[in-house]
Amino acid sequence: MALERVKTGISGLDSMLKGGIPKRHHVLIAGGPGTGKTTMAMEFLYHGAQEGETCAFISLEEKPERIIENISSTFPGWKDFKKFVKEERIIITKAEKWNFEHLVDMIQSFIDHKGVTRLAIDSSTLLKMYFTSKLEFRRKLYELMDFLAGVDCTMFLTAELPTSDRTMMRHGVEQFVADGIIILYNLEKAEKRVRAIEILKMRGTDHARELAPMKFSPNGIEVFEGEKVY
Amino acid sequence: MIAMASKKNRKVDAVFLTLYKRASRRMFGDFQSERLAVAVGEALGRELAMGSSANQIVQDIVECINASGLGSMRAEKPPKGVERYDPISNFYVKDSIEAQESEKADKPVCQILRGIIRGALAQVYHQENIAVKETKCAALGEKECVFEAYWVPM
Repeated sequence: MALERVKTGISGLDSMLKGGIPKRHHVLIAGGPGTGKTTMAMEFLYHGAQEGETCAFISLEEKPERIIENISSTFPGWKDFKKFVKEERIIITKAEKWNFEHLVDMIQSFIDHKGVTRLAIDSSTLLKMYFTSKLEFRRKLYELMDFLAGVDCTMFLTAELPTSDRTMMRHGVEQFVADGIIILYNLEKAEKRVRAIEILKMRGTDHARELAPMKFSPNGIEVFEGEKVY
Repeated sequence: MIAMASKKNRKVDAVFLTLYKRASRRMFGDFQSERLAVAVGEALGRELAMGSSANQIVQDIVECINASGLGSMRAEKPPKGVERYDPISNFYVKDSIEAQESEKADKPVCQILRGIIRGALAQVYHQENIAVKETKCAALGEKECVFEAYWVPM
């Protein structure tokens, strides 16, 4: 049977993924500060809404109004973004701090009663702080992923990395639990910062192995597969 | 189903619920069986909220739980000064059959009741930023189970 895929809709990324993310996969978007994790997760939802899907973005830190304003100013070409939010085709909400039960209640509610098929949680770095030990975090995250594996929902989970340096990358608990890992960079090149993307892992499918440059345009993220970063 | 049970004055069967929850734990593990119970509760709560209103929903939840046999419930606003965020209501349940069926608990166990309360409130207010916490549970030796329902600040 052919592998069912969900197109991210992000220019150049689906080609790197050989057609999109396998359906029901849980993908970690990891990167240093300011690399575009939240933005990429939102673009994944935005294109889902354009396809007629219902999508949900659960923030563990930022207020929904602030997220909406940031996204609207980053991508002025997304004329229908606020309309999608108003019509609840993109639901943006905030979970209660340190209350894992409430987070899971909301996810379950979105999937069972709102028909959400694309979900983003921002961020796992904060989620980690809900638990007193790494083991408990790993166990709960695994249980959550296992629970979500049985439902028709593809998830992006963001994770903060302490550095953008490729050689200094540390692997957190969530990277072992996720089906896929996409890393975003803000690399130094000739006294300038250059955005770049790399697919580190994607279970069940082949994918591009090279680092690719990436930029933010008014209409969304653009990934330039096959082009050199350095 | 509970809304229907309430209308027809039929009770949820304690023996059936006990066996069902135990079997679900055995088959799916703690986390999945808890989620299943919350999902059942939430679906029931949402059904119960159809035709209710924000003014009436707390009373409707109490009446339905009492008619269903899941426990003996009363609701009241938390006393001033101890509320968590912006409270909706506290729900107090004596003789919860979920708590009674629990063999050895190390955390609150009344997921169906919690799901019903949250589902009914989320449905009637059309909001997801409602949290329901079981802060006391008879399965942990308390006199009664206590559920706090409140708005999560956005």
